[in-house]
Amino acid sequence: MSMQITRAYDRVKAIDWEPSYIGKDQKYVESTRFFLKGLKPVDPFKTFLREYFKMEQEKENRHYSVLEASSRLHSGPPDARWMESMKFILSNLATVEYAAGRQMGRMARSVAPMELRQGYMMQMLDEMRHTQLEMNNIRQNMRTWEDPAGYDIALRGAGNNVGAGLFRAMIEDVTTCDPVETSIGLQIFIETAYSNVFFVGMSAAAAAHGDNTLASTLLTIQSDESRHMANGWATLVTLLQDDRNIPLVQQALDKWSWRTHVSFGLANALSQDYFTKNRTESAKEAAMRWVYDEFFGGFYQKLERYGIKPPPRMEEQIAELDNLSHSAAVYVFGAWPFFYHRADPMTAADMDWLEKKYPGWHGRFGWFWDSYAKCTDPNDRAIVLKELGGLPNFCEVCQRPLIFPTPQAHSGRSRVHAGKNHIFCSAGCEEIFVNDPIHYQVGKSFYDLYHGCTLAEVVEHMGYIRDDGRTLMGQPLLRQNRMWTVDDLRRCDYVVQRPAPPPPADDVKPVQETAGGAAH
Amino acid sequence: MTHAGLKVSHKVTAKLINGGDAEAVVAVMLAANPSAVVKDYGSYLSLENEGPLFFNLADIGEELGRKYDVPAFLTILASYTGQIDVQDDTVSIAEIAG
Repeated sequence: MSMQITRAYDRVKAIDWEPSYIGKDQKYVESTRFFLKGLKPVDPFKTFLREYFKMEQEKENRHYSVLEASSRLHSGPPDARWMESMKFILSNLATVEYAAGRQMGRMARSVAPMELRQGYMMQMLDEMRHTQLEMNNIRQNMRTWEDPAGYDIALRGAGNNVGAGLFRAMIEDVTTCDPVETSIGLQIFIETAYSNVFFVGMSAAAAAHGDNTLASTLLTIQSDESRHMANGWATLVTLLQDDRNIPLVQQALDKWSWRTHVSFGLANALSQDYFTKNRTESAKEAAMRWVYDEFFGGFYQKLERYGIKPPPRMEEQIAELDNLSHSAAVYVFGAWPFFYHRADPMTAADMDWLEKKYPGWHGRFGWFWDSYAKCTDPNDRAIVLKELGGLPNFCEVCQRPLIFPTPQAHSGRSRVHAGKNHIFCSAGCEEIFVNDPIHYQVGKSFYDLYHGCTLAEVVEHMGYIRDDGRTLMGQPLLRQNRMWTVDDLRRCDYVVQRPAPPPPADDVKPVQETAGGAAH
Repeated sequence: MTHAGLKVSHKVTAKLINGGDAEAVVAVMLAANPSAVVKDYGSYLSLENEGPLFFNLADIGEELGRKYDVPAFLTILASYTGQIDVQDDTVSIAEIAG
């Protein structure tokens, strides 16, 4: 009979050691501004390798048997809108998970307490598993879906797509911030607050659209996230044992509340409202249930006893939910040639549902879908992007286009820092920049690369062309008499132009410097 | 006392990957917690309670007719709300102390 979990866990902990052959500076590599000395951490899952591998093997057995069965049973094709949209979503998930694995290795090295380190190491293995599961899901879709174009360039798309910049900016921010702050960004906000909406909530949508493979993939991944949530909670309450950490934790919570809302929160909202057909709840309802009721009400609120206050922009976040998915859809559908999936625009039934769930939707967003409908036939030489006045500016913190909360009344602004003009989508992102400007110095923006290029040149450079060398991967409709080609784009006579910067705003002041700078 | 703007939730939940194991877990938990509620979302079941959820793995194994242990339970636990504690033969989820 194997040893009991609690006894084995204590035994494993007892063999931790400090190496004599290198100094602490060499061992930890990076310092942190948080205070860690003398803290007494907890690991509620008490995970160690023997139990971990047994559990993960069982999960793999269950998941891959679903894939095997689906290959044999041919239960009918999944929904086309869903399968096309997942070209964009799945490619980005795989790269985000891989980056999360890198982050856990970094945290395990930089955050000293053994109990936390143990949890981070298991999480690093989890994230590698998730990347493989998602890549395998992409491969499965390439083999079985009617139109594999787009799935075959998934990683390229995640690397150079203008919309994927949102995911890249989010996950690189988590990777390059303070290694302890990484826990607050990733484990508290991305994994506890927001991943449930997608990995659990959207698993039901995947099943409702006949995509049983992805439903199984999402749920087997989320079963690991349960431990990641516990890692985040353990790290947070450990940090809060030292009063000097309270203002540092508060600052990180304030940042990541907004930062995750504009990135993962936006992707969740877009997927829930615009990539589905057999809908159950709206993106706003899902966010209110998972993020604002369960996370903020059942988790965050309980931090009050440590002196933690609500994030200052929470009301603004909730207010944005009325428009978040719809403005995101204007961008993703409006810029369809820059993507690598066939778009399925809203039907009359979809629009009725959107109006019912978001009263006033027709008045705020109906105009876009009217314009879109007039620009789908390649013979008309009309591209909706041109009709809308071209692509907007992009936020230098989160990479959102400057169309939020709505394209007609966006909160974009600019600010001069160190002699250079910087552009932001909102006061929240400007504030994040002001508190840590060096972190957000961009190399080359989309407009640095493509200003003055024709639409056809941009799409060719990105590689979003099918195997025949002329048909576009992205299309404005699921099915049409003939698909758009790069020659059709040339005939539209559209040249990418850098928009004028928005005016500055004066409502953001730097947060007062907080004490910190502790090492290990 | 609560934060302005934050609606306090006392609910404890366990989201279980739907299937035979999850059905057995739910049957045992509903018998032990008559006030608990189960919502079926198709791919997963949400077990919700206004108090702690205490999973005794021997009881679940009895319902299933086979040995059931912590790793087997964690295989189907997709997510939860509350504070989790894993012991040798039990898993508990309780409201985070406020």
